Amino acid sequence: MAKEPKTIAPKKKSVWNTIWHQRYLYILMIPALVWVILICYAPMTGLYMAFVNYKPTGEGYFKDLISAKFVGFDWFKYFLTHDFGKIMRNTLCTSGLTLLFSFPMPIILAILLNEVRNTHVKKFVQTASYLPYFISWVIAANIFMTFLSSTGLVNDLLKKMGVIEESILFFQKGPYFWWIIAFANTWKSMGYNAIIYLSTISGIDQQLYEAADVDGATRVQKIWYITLPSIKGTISILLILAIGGILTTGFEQQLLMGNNSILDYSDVLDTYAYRYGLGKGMYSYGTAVGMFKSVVSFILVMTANKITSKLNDSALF
Amino acid sequence: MRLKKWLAGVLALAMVASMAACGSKGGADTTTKADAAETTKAEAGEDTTAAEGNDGEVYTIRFFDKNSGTRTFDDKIALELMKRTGVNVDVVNPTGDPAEKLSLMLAAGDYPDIVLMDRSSDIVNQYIEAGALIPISDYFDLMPHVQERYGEVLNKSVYSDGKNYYLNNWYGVDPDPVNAFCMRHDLMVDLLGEERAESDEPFTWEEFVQLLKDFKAKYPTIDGAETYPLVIGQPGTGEINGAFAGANGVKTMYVDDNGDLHFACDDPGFKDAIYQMNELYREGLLDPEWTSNASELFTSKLSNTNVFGFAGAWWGAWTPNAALDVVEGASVVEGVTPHYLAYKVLGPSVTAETTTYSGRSTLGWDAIGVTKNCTNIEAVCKFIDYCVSEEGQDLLLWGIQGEDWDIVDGVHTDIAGVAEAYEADPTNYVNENGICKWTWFVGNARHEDGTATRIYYNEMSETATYAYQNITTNAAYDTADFAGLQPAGQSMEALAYQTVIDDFDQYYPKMVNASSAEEVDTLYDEMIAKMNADGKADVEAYMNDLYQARMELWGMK
Repeated sequence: MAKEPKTIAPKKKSVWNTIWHQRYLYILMIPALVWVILICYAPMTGLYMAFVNYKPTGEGYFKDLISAKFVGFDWFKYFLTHDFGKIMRNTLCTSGLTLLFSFPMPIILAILLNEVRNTHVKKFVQTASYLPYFISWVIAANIFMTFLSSTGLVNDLLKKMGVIEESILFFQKGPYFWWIIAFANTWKSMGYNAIIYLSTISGIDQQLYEAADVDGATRVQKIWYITLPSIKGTISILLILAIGGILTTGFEQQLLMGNNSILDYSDVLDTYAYRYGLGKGMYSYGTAVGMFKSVVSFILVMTANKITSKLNDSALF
Repeated sequence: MRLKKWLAGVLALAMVASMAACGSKGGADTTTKADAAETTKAEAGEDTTAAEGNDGEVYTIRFFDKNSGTRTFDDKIALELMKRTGVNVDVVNPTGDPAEKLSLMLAAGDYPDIVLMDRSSDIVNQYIEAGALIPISDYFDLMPHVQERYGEVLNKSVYSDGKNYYLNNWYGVDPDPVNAFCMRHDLMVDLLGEERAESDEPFTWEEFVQLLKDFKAKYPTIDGAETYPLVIGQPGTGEINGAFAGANGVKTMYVDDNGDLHFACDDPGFKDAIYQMNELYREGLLDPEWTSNASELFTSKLSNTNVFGFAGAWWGAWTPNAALDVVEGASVVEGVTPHYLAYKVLGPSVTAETTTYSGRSTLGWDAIGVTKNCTNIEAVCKFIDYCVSEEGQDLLLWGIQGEDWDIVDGVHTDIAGVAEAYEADPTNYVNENGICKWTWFVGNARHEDGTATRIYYNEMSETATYAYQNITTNAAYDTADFAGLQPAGQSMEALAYQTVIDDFDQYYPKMVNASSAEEVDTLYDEMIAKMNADGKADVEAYMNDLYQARMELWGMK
């Protein structure tokens, strides 16, 4: 009678054993962990400032924070009953328009670049398109303000084409400002963001394209049936991140290109929190506005993640 | 393999060396300054006891100056000041928005020994309330020149606890002109004739509008560019253009017949000013993009030949005038300069005697306080007292005696052509030469010999002469009465104040750019309704209480 081979059950390691076994990896992780705790989590204690009337007395930050008068949701209430509507409208309109342009544009650019066969042209276009990313907003804002001034290139061009007779005062019409910011954001980030899609496209199995060639697929068909489905996962993840950042619609661009005549259109959550929090020394109020933004952003990320995971298999978590 | 190890070693050493060099950069800089000051002190054989600590090191005063921009404290005046006061000075620049920097320093408790901030801003009260400033009045016995030269100004600057927490900058009675309608002299001569262009008689509003129209009709373009009859700077916060306010007798706040305080928009002259600006806008006489005219763009526009004039502080003409001087053929009349010169215009309900072009505070523009982070108060007091003294002021604002100026026949006299060199290139000359670069503890009173506090203003240029001739008389009022009344720091009143100011800031350009006078009325009513809804009355009541208490304290009630 043949003996059944004896199966040896794998030895169950305790957690401590595992940690000891991987101790060098954990040691390597310590600096990053310290960094995350110190830079990302420790400052969050400051969120308490949103619920107190924080006034620096020179006794030290923590002492001032702890001894500050607790006011509950007073700052939130003030924000919600006064400027909330206007500031949210501006934030969402600017962000919505930015998302509308700046989200698909890198995808389109990456796909088009992928189709360019001339390497020199491809490299030139790629470099030229991501160059704006490295230009500071101070310079970018000046470029836009010069181009869009009453005697600028855009007005001159429109006049010469007979589209307008009088110059359009772009920076004095509130709603125009949303479009200008959306365009500026897209121009600045399009090329850089396209790199992510280009790298995903370069990872697509070339045999798929070869098979499509054998089947007689056109270029558009190959894009539609191979490229786009292959980068669907990346698109989903970047969309989730973009939705999470929808309330972070910019800061320098608004401050640099805005002016008082369009303040009721240019003031977004970040600039509002900055004006009150730092500009006027209302730290608690500024923190409350900032915290409000973070909470809404968090909800948006969760919602987008849920929806995406339902629609397809790609999700952040 | 050996080569790799060797290379790695060299690279590691290079990294360590470069990091050490980076780390010691600031220290090295300070040492250089310290050495320079120490050497010059030793040469002068001065008493440096107060400035030296127990270990004999020279004390370094860290000085935040909101006006310093990116200027460095290394010119000849700076070195001479350190030599004479026996301390080193490390100027902390705002590197961006000074208000933000002040606010951040306060929040972090990371303020230097001395802070210079906008006196009319609520940041001063925030610093005092936070206990960041030491009561400087406790040390007045160490600063004899402060008591002697500041006099009554100190009494008017006391905090509610009866102590002084700062010293004023640009303090004392000051009849100097501020705002004006500055028009190109050559074009004025061309359009009005020499006699009228050089007269000190104010223009009526109708005359002024006609003048702008005549200019536009005669010069639709200059050098191929469309002309602008009048340019103004982008709107400030909570106020309208100073020249238009001045032409209509509007002050920073409005006091009604009962002596109660209101925002300036309640002043009857306020609407006149807005109507006038709107009229110019609608007639195409005002730069249509005025709301975007930040200071650099504003100066740049004025430096072109296609602008007739601007409304604002007359000293805004310095740089454009210097720029126009070097443009060949800029003047349309031979022998007449293309300089912007100051003129007075009268609104419909004011006379030449009731304009308010020159809002000057007897308590000065800035507040300079010593913080509790200062560890050598004696050295700081010695430094401040020297700066306040006549000798110190002459060093800062006239330069080095015997080199830049001297007493000739009992009178302060420019002996090195300083004023002339300044007028040719104001910005660069000040930065390189150092005279008037550090304007600290400045008093407005003239020298006993009648000369001005600043060397540049002594031998009056054409620009200054016109401003003094046309704007000085019956145009001044003291803004000190209204300064610093706004709710400070973080409170519901302060939030309401800021919201009301935001309302104003948003409606002011809309009213100016309105398509008709009727639309101006509608927008004005909307603005007042919005301000009321946001707590205007409560804020005014808060400020009025402080104002009434102040008037009583100053014996003006």
